[in-house]
Amino acid sequence: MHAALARSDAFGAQFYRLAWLVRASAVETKLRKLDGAVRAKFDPNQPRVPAGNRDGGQWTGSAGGGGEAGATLTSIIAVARRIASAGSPLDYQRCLNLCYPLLERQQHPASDRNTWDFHKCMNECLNLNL
Amino acid sequence: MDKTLAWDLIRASFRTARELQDLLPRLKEQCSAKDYQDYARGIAGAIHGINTALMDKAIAAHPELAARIEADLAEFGRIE
Repeated sequence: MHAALARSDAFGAQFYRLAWLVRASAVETKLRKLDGAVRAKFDPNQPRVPAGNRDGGQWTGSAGGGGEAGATLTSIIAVARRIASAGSPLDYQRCLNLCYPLLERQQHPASDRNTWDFHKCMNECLNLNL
Repeated sequence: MDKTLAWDLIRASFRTARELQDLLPRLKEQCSAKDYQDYARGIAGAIHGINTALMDKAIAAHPELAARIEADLAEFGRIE
């Protein structure tokens, strides 16, 4: 009887671990898709048609405001926050991959803007908000 | 830590990061895509290391310097 219960407990633990891994994998996949969308210049701040309209939820017009570089920064920081909230030991490399394109943006010569934005991105991503 | 020394640490961090970033266009031009990505990640990692070891500590010691960084960037586009 005890042996049967122990086997049942062990099976339950394995089942829950497997279910957890499946859910974690789904989160990872979604983050990768989001990361890809950001790299393709996806802008979550771009306005959408309000709910109740025939095209409700569809993208409309451009985001405007800070221009392309500003929009990209906002999007990348948003992804960085999501990675931070997902939390895993692999975060450092993922955060580096996410944030380093900020250092490649065209800026005025001798500008320090990229360094500061990269710094903010890494700290957001690694949850090191000081 | 003295506030002047903290600001000098921040300026040195930005200056070093700027010099490393200046290499990116030349690396992109002369290296294969894979090599470039390795170098770019390496440079980003080095900048992050400097920021963590120097800049973050200086800002932690004098939090008001973060606002000074923002102000300099807004006015000059760089840390003066």
